[in-house]
Amino acid sequence: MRLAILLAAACASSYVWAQSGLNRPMLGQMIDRQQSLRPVYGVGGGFHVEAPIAERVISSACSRTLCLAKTESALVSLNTAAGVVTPAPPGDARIALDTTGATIYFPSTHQFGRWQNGTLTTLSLSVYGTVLALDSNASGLTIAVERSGIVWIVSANGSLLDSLPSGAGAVLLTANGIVYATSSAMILRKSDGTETTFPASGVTALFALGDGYVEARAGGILYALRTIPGREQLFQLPQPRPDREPDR
Amino acid sequence: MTRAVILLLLAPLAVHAQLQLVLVNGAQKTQLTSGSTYELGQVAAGASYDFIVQAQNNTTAPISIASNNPALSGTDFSITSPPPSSQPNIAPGSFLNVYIHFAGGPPGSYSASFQFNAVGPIYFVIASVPAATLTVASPCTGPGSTNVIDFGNIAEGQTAPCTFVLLNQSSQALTVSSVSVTGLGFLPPQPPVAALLLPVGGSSSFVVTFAPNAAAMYPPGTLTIDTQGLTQSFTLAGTSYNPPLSTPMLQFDTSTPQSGQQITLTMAVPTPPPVATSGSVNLTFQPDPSVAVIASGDPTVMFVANGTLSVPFSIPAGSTQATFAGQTGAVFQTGTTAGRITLTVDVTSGAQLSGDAATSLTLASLPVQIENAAATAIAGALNIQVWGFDNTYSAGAMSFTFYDNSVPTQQYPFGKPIGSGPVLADFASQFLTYFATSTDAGAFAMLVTFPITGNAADVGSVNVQLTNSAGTATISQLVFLNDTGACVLSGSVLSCPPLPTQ
Repeated sequence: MRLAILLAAACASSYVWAQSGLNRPMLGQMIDRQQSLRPVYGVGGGFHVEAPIAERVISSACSRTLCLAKTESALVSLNTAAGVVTPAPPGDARIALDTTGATIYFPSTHQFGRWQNGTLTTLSLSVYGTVLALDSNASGLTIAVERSGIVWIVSANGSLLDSLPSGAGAVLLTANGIVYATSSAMILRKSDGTETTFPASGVTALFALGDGYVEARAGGILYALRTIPGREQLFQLPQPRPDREPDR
Repeated sequence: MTRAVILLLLAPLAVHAQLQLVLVNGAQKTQLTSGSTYELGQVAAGASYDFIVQAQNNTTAPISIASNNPALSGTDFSITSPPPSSQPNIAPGSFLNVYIHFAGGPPGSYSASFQFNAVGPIYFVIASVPAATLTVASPCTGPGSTNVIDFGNIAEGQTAPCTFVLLNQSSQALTVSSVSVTGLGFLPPQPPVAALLLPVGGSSSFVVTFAPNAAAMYPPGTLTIDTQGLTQSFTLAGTSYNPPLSTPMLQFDTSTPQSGQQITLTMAVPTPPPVATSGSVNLTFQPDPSVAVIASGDPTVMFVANGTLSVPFSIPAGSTQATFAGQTGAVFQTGTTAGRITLTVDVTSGAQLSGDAATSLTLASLPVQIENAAATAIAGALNIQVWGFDNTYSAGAMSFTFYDNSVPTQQYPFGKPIGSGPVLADFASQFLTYFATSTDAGAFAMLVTFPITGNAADVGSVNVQLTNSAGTATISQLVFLNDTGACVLSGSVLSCPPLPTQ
């Protein structure tokens, strides 16, 4: 046996425990109805929403290790207590996290950028159509673009990879598949092409809440779609207690 | 000469010692003078009339009441109080009310003469004129001698229409110029009455409706009938109460409630309330006794609509279905602690709750519930992460069985086991410490690190078993991923390793 696990150490649980631990289960961050970013803890169906850590957030993408929020004029990294603020083109942004940073598309300037360690670098990349979502994965950059009413999934070099049915609106590309919204439902298309439909009408925007969770905004209701394979389920995110006035 | 002067000086004093009489006719007061005639107005033929003569002593000495005073004479007039000579005097600065009743009679003019001590005679004249007779039909009662028409006590939001009939029982045709209604909650006559000609023996009807929009004792309204210069007034009375609300039925979209769920609550009433009704549905959570020694509650039990333990509802009048901020259901979280959730209903306006709608859900103890797991091989160690919840707060005992990444065979479908058997561990004290201070109830994120020697890439997968007081949960064939580092940007092409989740 080439591999020797330190069974003795493992059996002496205190030793194992010294290198590990129990923590609050952080699921990610949600944008509430007042455009504030709030940490979300717990498990699916048992969410615990904390106080805001950023205001006036337009879009965001979060994982357990990194959360990047777009405000009107900046990208804010919130993986540490003191957020790193990076000036960025104005308005909305499509954000795709990966293990070391994020790739971002800015609709106002039609530019792609690479954010890493607080630095934003413009990418020399352009695609035809309206960019709806991005995903950074092992095979590179994947982009959801809308062209003449049809949503296409393309690679960075423009190759067509997939398409969505007509009527698809908001789109999010995740590690667990493509999440898109129609007028009456949210649909998770997994990598094998199978789809699961969750009734939810009026979804207008999708954000990466955290690893395995997608936030969906539908009027006054905020949904959390769990995309973890085998555990797919749609929940509602608790609305914060009415202890503060909306930002104006 | 001296005596004459004294008499002259006393004369004014004697005048001042006289009573002053005042006619009290409703809110109007009129000073009465001896020898004068006072018109009391008109009353409907057959109707009675009451008024008061107030005898005031505005001097500083008592005024004795003369024998057989006050005195009244006149057909159908009488003093109802006080009886003549029933009091010896009227105190200084005080007064005595003399109540006079006119019994009514056929159309005609009636007069009476009134005398009190040295004041009088004073003449009163009243005219009894032909008028329509008013009757009301059920559910109203009255008007009787008090001229009060009672609409009764009705449920808030309901209406009580009453039919009124004007009947001409006189010997001449009558013209009713108007019928009007005033007063909160009382609606105008339908159809409107104006310039109505009532022949002898003729009648006409109209409807007045009492329509209270809130439960209350309503101030009296007034029905006024004008007939050829005669004004008849009737008092309209009515009260309103909150109707009972049949006991609400709380229903859930699952028959098997348990921890870690979001349940949609709907609420219906067997019979629709007659008025719009609103209130709140309230949650309380009681941990299971086995957990209560560690936690007194669960902060994740809440209604998601507002993040609190109470959600407002409303039931429109005539509907059986409650809505919650416009939605037909209210979603609440059951939390991650074993125990019991109780829902109660409070009504704050509209119909009143007639029964107890409290409903309880029991959340049984469960084996550890796994939401996600990941296994990562890094240099010198194996990391196993588990996200989930333990609603018994008793987790701790675990076992880990590692498999190599050899080609699966019939004998070893998951690869060959590493070592002589499962690695056992007991993290009970760590879990207990965590749960005792947890702000996320039974939810946890666990990282277990196994230091290793050799090549971590040779480890293929692991089976994990987590045991609590309710049973054992198993994570099967959790495949180890290699944490290979950072994304690489080459030109416009970005290459990244997979994220450390499955």
